[in-house]
Amino acid sequence: MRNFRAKVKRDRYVGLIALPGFLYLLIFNCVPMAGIIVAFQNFSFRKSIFQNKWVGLKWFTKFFHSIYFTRVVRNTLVLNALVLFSGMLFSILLALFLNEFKNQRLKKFCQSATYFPHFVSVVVLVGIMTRMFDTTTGVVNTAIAALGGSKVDFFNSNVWIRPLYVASSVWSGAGWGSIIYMGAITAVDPTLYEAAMIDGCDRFKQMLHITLPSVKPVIITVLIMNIGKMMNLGATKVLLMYNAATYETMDVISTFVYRTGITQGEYGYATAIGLFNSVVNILLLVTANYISKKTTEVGVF
Amino acid sequence: MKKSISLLLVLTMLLGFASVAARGEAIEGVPDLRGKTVRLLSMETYASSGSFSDIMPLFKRYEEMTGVTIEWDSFSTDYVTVMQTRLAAGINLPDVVSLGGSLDLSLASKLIEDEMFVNINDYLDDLPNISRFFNESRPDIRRSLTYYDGGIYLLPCSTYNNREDEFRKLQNGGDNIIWYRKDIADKLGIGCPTTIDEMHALLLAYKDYDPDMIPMLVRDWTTWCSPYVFAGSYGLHFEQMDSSSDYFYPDENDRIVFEPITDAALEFVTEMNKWYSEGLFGFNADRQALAASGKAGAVWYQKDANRISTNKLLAENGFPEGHFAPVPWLYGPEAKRGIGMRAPFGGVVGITDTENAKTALEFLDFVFFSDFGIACQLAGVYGDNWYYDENGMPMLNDETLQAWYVDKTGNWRTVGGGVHIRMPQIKDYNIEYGLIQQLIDCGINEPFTEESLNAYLDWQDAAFETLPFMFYTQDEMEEYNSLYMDIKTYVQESLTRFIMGEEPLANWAAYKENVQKMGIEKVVAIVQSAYDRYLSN
Repeated sequence: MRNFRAKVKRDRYVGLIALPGFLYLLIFNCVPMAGIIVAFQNFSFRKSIFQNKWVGLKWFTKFFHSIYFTRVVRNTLVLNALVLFSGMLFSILLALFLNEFKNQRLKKFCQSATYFPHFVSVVVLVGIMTRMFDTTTGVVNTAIAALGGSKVDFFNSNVWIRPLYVASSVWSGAGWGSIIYMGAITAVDPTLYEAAMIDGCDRFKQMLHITLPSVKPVIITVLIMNIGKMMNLGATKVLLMYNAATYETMDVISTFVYRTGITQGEYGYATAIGLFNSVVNILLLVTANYISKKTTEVGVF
Repeated sequence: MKKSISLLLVLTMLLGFASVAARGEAIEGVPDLRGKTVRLLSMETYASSGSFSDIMPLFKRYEEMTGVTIEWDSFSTDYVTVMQTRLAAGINLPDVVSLGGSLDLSLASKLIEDEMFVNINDYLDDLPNISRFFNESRPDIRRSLTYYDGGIYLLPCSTYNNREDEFRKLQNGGDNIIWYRKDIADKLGIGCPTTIDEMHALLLAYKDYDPDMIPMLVRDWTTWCSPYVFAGSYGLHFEQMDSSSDYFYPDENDRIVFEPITDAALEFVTEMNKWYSEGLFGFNADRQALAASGKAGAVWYQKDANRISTNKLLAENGFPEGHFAPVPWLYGPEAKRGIGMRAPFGGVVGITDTENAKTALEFLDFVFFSDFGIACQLAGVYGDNWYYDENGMPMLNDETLQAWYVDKTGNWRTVGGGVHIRMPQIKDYNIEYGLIQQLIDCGINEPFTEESLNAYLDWQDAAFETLPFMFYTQDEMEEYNSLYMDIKTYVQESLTRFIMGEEPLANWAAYKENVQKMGIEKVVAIVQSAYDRYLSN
């Protein structure tokens, strides 16, 4: 006990810095977890969660028995995987590319320019895409037609809608995502590059053999953390982009919940699906971490 | 000097009192709500976070007249989520809660079942205007809003006071019709289409005339502005895909039919598939702009589109002879035609079960359901914007007419009326068209052109009633939701895929079988029992 107190006293300022984050997690992440019990209840607007009627696994059964269960889970995983891997790839490439800039002003300008799309609202982003890929007046289809090709109905096509979703996500997120890799690259010991230059490495080889291995732990950590969010996919962008013609490839868990649960006040159902997502996320996280530790000896826990 | 100033002040005050008294004389049944507060939770896009009492002179006047303090709680985005969160919080509940712009039957049922709202029947003796509305003006709405236990827990928004009025269908038809480029059709020697086949021929002619032109411009696949708008010509009633009730329709024997699996649906889908494969549809949300730029042959757009001068814009864009004219509603292969009327009311409000419920109901009874309140909603602030003529009809005064003349968008808000909040706003055709006639008589003919009015008249003939809003019992609701949500998704998706050619029409039988396997018969039986109950209410 005395030892603990001594440690607290020693690290009090570090603890003070961590306190807001700790409180945030406690208030917004830990305390609301008590609401998980709603997944096993018939939620009532009038009653407290301690007074609601217990319904057991009713909501889970309802979700699993839906004919669209497999489809929405598959679409969620596929869309997330595509966004995750392509997003990370482009973020890393962008960070490596920006790191090679010698002109600092140009580098900062490029950084700012690539961060900017992150701040564009998803509604605006989809609005821009709708205009760009429109079959009637969109610049893309106009160009296709001018080159002698046939116009493509991008937003009503199950073939094209996913690439559109992923590409726009990469466009809006790659710059922002590269920040963490830029930070990791900055921390690489400059003497390593000097030694490599003496050994005759050109810039590409330095990138390949020094920069990339140095940021590998960060890449793996980010990858594992993102795999832990594989079942989460915000409904907003999909709701804005999909329609009945593209349900096959774009209907995801969150839009399914929105249509069949939230808008109807069925919070028990929505919570059950949320809980299911979280359990799968934890399983994915643990699995990814295990595989990573076995193969690269890097893990988040 | 001091005496003169004092005298002047006293005179001014007396004149002020006299003016208020004069206004008060004309108004009957003003409830005394002094010292009381009414909290309203509402969706509003006009002023997302403001107080209407500050920005709308009308509500300021209501506060002065009744002595009540109105507390506004309005949101413009993600309203339904915010509203549900407010109710789930369980404290500081608003007194009057709008359930949003469109009415979700499941949500409304759940909130009633959870005893969030008071039974308005218990208060009707003290609510003369609401009683009159339910019992004399709109018994059909009373039937719709009667819960299966016999209670009435909701009040309707955005509806009309006089159901049988001749203008009802004109106004209550949906907002859109087909407009076509008459100048090009004339050049091609083609008259105004009256049937689906003639429309098809016209669209093909547009395509031949200019390959870059969009023959038929609609918006997308899931709203009221999709190729489904032509379903009415096949005797179908589901042109508005967003409304689940549109897939069900009672036949002449009041038996509920699930229309998307009928032979008529196959015929419709087959024809639309042909149009789609011929490249006759263009999808774009900016229909007005595209039409005005001369890029559309035909467009599904507001039936009073001439009011916003599409043709004027067309001329400015290099088509001086350009002329969009309305197409009368098209007859299908079996000489059928029709388009669903707007639902009898748009959205509902509930009165939360608090000690303030009676005050809230008395407030709503006067502000929205009394003759005076209805006139104010349409014409603005009494005394400032309008007055009663010798026949007791509301008339706009000169300043208001001048404001209309300046603001030709027809925005009643500029004169203090037409608030369009999601509250039980009731309108009255006689008053509304009296006011419109007054505008036309004054030379302010912007609201309608002759062509628009003719389109309205044509609609009157083609418009049909949609399936009424009906409540289900708890057991029915549960089974309906568990079966129908998947069926609806499957049907929406399948019909669209058939039209787009992604699903071969040869698979129609399999599609029909799947819908049956998914339990549509049970769902139809549930809708039937709710409909029977509605008819017997």
